[in-house]
Amino acid sequence: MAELVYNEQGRLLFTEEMRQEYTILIPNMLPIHFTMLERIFNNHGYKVKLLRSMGRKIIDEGLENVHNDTCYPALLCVGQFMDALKSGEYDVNKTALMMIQTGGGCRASNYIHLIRKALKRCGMEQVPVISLNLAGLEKNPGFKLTASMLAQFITGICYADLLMLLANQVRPYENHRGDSDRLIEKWIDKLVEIKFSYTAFDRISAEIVDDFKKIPYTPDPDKVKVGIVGEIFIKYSPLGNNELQNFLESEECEVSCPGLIDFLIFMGDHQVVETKLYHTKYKKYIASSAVKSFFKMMQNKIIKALEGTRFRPPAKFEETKKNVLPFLSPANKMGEGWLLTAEMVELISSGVNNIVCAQPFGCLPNHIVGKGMIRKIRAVHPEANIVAIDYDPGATKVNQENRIKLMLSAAKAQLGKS
Amino acid sequence: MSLYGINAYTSNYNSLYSGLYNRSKSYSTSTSDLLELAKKADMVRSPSYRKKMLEQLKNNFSDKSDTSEVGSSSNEMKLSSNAKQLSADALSLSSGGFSSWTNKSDAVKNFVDKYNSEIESLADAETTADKGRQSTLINTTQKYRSALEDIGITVGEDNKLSIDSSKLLNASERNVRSLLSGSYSYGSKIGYDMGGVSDSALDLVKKFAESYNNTLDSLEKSDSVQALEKGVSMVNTTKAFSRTLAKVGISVGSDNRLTIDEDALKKAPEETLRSLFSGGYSYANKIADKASFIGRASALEAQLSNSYTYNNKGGLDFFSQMAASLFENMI
Ligand code: SF4
Repeated sequence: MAELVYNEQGRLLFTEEMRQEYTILIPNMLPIHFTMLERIFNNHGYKVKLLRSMGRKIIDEGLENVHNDTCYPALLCVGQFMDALKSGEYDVNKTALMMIQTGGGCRASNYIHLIRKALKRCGMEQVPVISLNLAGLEKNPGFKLTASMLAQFITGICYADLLMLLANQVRPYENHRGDSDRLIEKWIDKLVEIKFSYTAFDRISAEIVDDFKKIPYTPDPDKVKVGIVGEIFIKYSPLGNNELQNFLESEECEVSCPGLIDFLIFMGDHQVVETKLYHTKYKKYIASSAVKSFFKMMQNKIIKALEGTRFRPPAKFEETKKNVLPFLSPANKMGEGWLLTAEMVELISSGVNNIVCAQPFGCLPNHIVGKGMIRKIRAVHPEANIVAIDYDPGATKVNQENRIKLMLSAAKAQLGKS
Repeated sequence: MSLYGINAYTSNYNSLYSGLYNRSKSYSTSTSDLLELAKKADMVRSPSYRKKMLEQLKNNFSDKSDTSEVGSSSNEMKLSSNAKQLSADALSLSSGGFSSWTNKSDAVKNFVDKYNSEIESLADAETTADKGRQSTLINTTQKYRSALEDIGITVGEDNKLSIDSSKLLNASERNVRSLLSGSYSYGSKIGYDMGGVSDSALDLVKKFAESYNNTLDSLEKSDSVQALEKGVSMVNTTKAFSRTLAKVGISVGSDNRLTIDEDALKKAPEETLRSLFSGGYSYANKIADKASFIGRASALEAQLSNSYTYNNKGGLDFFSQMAASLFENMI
């Protein structure tokens, strides 16, 4: 077993020796994106395992280990880690945990401390916790985000967004069930092989679009288009939203879920806005502007790849932002900030009037920019059919699904009329 | 072969089998996918791979003293019966198959002894911390004086506690527990918990540890990949709980066997014992599940080891492979 080394503040470090023999667990937020993340890490000499576990036991572990006032995504992350460590699948003396830290003002930055507290409570303090962030928080000698890894992560996100967007539009109509998912698997393998090439992005995205075009399908005008918005973890993670996407697809719906690129541009953008409003550090402004411009360029590439096809491209960030300005100020940046409202408005403008707004328990920011804005949106867009669904440890799946079914029946009635 | 190499094979093995029995996932039936599955099957079933994997897995159970013959059908049967016994013992612990964790009189006696010895040691308190602790003990006890008297504990002039046996005998188990154990109780306010494991509970924990060790002994002699994998998982779960187990006097050795310190176990706090052994997500319940799987897997391995036939390349012939997958499907 590797020697346990602590830094001056008493934090257990992830050492070079641990890198050789430890398995690093990460929670699954976006199935396609995080599968790529897992593969990239593994190709760079780490042994990373994406946790795909589900079930009530995760919530119960969470409830046992974090205060029940904590927001639901935090409870799930802690619960999933504790459940995995106790499951016997991993040797706790050779396992580390990894958590993404945004470094922002929201509780997401504090998950890491909650995880450490839970580990202590369960007598597993020997398990190191690694923070994955770009803000230079909590350095570890055995874990370095190299330029090659970072480049692959970044292009990986863009490829994953494209795959997610296409699969969402093809899956409900495919003639052979599973074709889109198999194509995703095939493309992940290929992308790993070509190391998520940035230079070949245009060519590869065209090939991906072509492949999806070739999937045999039957158009079905009776399918209801439903958008999913909400807090980032609950919106994407099947564990967080009780497999919302699967449920909607089983109810004859086509799901539309905004990509991660929007969120990354939003992160860059709010720093820019902050500098303008509060005159914060100029250095951060330059870095954030660069991030913003880069992802905007990648978004344009995706839009271009989808031009002239039957697929609906993502909306341009600037348009999304412009549409939200009548509703709230761009200074709303906690949680998903103004982006959540903007995504609802954007979905409605592109003809997706039916929206599930996924709200985690204990999340103040998103209750304001999500649930809190629905009335205002409805006043401007009376055609909007939005349902806010609360996700919390006590909520039952049946209840959530019944509320969604109610929204769907209104949507189907609307579809019948038109 | 490195450990990671083995892990990679193991995950192939798992995905192969999950592909065969996981009905919730739709698997393609295209020829290329089937060929891919068949290739994985060949790799997994090749004798050299199997041998390496078995060696690696068995490292977890070796106590280095036993060098007897391994891998026969009777060994599998022995493993099966040990694992089933372990599962039964773990289940009786988790479902509370005994009257009570603690014996009322022993628990109160332990509590009072611990309290009195601390009061004695603080008699000449000089430091601020010691003085603070002394006043917490005395003041909190005074507040609970009448409740303590109701269950037969009296507070003396010297601030020490004494037991009125006849009153304690008549006191309800529930009252004793709510006063001495659990959050917000008098016990928790002074940082104590009710120790004093009852004889029936003690016997059951001892039986559990014995069956656990016996199962590990027989795992070392097994040739069932599935049983061995679950065995590793069982050992890993025990490692995850090892520090909590240590708090109740159960230590996990370097050979992964459990050893009980009876004195420590007798005085172990009830809350910790409950969290470890009672309920659906407890340590005992997790072990029960795994042991029950090992029991079934090794019983099937015993049947299979009598019926396998090999082809001229040293692999299993087609019908044996089919039989193996059918049996493994049933696990
Ligand atoms: S946005 Fe809400 S749910 Fe997400 S971390 Fe912040 S408080 Fe928690």
